[in-house]
Amino acid sequence: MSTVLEHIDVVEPDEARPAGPAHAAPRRGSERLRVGLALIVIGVAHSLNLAGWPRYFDDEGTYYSQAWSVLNMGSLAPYTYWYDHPPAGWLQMALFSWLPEALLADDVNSDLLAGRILMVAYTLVTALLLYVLAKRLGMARGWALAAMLLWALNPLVVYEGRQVFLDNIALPWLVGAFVLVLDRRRHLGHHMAGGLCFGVAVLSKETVLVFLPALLVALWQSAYRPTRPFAIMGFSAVVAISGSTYLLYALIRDELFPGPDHVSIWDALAFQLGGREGSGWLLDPDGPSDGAYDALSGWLHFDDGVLVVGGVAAALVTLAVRRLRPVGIAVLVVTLVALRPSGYLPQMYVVAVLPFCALALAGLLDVAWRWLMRARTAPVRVISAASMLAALAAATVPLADWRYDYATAWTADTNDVRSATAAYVEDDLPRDATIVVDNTLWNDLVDAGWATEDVVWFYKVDSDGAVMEQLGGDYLGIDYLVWSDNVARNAGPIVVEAYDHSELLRTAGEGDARIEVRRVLPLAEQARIQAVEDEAERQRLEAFLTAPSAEFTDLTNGQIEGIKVDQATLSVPELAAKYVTSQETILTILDE
Amino acid sequence: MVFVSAVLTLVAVALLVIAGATLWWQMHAWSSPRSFRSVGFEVPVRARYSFSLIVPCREETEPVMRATVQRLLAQDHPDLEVILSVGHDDAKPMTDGLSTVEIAQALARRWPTRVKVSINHDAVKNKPRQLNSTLLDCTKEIVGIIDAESLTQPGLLRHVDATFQGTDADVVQGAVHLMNYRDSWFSLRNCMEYRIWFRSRLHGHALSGFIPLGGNTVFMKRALLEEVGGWDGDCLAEDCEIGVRLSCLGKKIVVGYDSRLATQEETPERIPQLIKQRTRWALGFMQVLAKGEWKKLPTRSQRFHAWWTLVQQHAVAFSGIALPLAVLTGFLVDVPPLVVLITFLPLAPTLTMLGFEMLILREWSREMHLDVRPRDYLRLVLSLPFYQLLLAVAVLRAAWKYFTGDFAWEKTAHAGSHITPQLTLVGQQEKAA
Repeated sequence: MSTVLEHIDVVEPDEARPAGPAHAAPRRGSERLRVGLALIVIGVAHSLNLAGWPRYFDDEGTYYSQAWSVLNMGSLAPYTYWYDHPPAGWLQMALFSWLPEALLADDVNSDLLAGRILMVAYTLVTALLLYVLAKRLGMARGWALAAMLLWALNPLVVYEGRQVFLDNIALPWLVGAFVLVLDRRRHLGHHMAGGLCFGVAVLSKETVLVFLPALLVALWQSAYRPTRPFAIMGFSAVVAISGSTYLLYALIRDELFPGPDHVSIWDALAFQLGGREGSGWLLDPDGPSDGAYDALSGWLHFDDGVLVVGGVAAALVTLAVRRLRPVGIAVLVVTLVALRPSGYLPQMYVVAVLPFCALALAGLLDVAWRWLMRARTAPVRVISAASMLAALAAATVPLADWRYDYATAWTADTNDVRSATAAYVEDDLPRDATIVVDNTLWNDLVDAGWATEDVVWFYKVDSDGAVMEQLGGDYLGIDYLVWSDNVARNAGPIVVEAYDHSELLRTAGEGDARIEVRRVLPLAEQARIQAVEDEAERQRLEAFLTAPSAEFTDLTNGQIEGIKVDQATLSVPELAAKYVTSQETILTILDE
Repeated sequence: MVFVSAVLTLVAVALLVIAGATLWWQMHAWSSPRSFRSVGFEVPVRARYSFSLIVPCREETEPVMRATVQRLLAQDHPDLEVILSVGHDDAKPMTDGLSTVEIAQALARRWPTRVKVSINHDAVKNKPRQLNSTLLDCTKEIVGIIDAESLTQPGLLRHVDATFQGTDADVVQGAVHLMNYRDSWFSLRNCMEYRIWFRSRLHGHALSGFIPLGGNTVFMKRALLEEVGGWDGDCLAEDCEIGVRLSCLGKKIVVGYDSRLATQEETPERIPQLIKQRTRWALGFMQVLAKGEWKKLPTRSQRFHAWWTLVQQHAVAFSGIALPLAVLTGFLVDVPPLVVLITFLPLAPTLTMLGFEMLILREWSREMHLDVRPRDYLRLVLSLPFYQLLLAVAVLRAAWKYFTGDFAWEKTAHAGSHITPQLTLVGQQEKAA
């Protein structure tokens, strides 16, 4: 047998000494039970009425249709893929979506439901990893559990977490990267695996790149000092290599730099970083509608400031606690980026930071609890523990209104109009017609028998050269239009033109839930309608001219118009003679 | 195109596995605090064992041999003998018209009580045969092999002695470092190979239960050597071969590392010598693999590790050629983007290793107080593909020789460019004391 010499000091200083075997097993068992129960509660809270609330959103359809396209068309998107986001998010969806699809009955209100079920699965994984991460950050089990529930049961998380967003897909990878980087054994392999997780997270949703400083701080803190450069090098190399596969893909396709007649990663980055219409400043109420301020208001509407404000405040304090510092840095860097005066800030920006807000809050409570428990005498400990718990209970009283949020989430059907519209389209419109829709309908219509190129996402009509070419360059290539609030707000000129030359077939819903199905009129039909309208106008005019005037009963409207015209060439007596009326009448008409 | 894609994918996945496994093994010592710390010698105690130190010589110059012997005699160990092992036919005049045999005899006259000469009379000459005949002249408990061109560090034997005592080892493998990292474009790469091997990889192999022993600064109990019948006289990698047999017998092999105690050697001077040396090693490994002693290892995991260790350098050479070819094919031939991406995958562990190598160089230079400059790092990076190519050539050459049955011993000449040894910190301290 071969062996290696070992120094005596090989005992890991921070390796928790194993608890005595006598009570270790039951304790681990009860921990598993508690975490398992919490996960069940989270799973139920996120999946009740998943198809009914919230309303299906355009982006959900976009990502889901892209996953579908990977599986069924062998391409990264049903349209020209233009590097809007790196594709790892919907590649994962493509990998897993067959499972919920197979389980779902045919009569669900949308194919998107399969995507939402995946999101619940991702949320559960994130929740579990959040618990592990909380423990890695040195929190007691109870507070780790609190962090997990504080995050997952927050109405804002229920709202965002249900929707098919790339951010939700990136989350478990992001939290997992922190878990691996804070590996207790400080193994280089785990640090590199953390880099790989972070790479997948970034390739799922590029915005999580803002967590890099926090991850590096976590790695720096956790790495063994003599081999710290190796940990940093291994982590960074893997992150850089993961990221460069994306650039390499563009390079292989000759789409790294802009050129005529093709998309490029360069253009996409320029658009995402500068070309997009700014959302205004986060705290500026006069910012553009649907801008950053509106996004913030939306977050606060669900969250009541618990994670969004409380988490940021807690993050500032955690900077003073060494073991929690990576969490504080994560939250604060994300906050600073959100507070930049201009630039684009989408509504789902908040998704990735919420788990860290929860960690900051629970982490501080953990610190406070430990501090209180240091008291010498038992009565003091009991009193301080009781008062801390009472204070926490009092703090939750204002959150009683959350019950309405939960009630909505678990019972409201906000997709009834959409599914009725889908049913109408599927029943009444011909399968060879070109229909412009918003992406929430794309998969359902393709599923119902339309060819992929005949269901066109409205956004692409004006932005994708290939689609424009397919439609013949103008609105006349469009047969039908499903018009919703979202389409109205984001439609390009061709789609607006189609709307202007269309007739309403069906409408349902009120306000921003209103959806219209419209038929775009072909030129011949427009001409026919125009001719009918012209004829009607002519007849109306003729009837008017032959009818007796209301004021001068002996004259028709036509004669009165004639008098006005003829006054230039004829005198009053001549006019009176010509129109067989009195000179007084002529004078009265001319006076008017 | 489908065929090309399939072949490219297969090759790329194979390369990825090879490069990934190599990365994993190379980084053993730096992979966790535990493995980082568990590589040292035992702390010296009272000397207990006696040492016969064999110095195999063939066409060596007088300065090289004298320096080696002097450094061995300077060891602060009470009971040692140095045996210069030479061949009877080694009559080529090396220094002042004296042959290696005559130089050895002169050195023995200079230190009559502590230096002996052992002359091998076999018709065919190679290192294992010389070692076997010299073993008969050894009188002490432990036999150590020290190559003629290498400089041992003061304190080495006391540490080895302590390690035999402290671990109940049958074999103790010490470390060898190449020091002349600026002598040629490939010498730095060569030096890094040794550093990584002795600082890290060998300890990983030790944990896995199979060690290919080195041929220098290796110490074995004489009784054990006699029991197994010495070295395989026909094997070009006799050191590796005896390691396999000892592993199979379940003997305890301990690896001790301390950069301050590492024996210092020199890199081959020119490319042909490097290629000859590597051809010999590769051919030797092929012999060991073919001989099949490793199949007698007790556990499946050990057998797998042994097999992998023996074929790994061939695999690395294969990747040295295949990787650039695959990447190039991926780019030039019209295959789907995904396949091109896959052909690039093996570059990931390769580039990561390159990053680690720079850190290893930094660590080594700090430990050995070397003056490593940015241009050295640059050279380390730039020389990688060319060095890989050299290794590939050597392995191809070995494969050719293997299939044509050419197992002649190609010895590499030594210039002794490090004859003014860079005494390391401990060396100086211990010498002063």
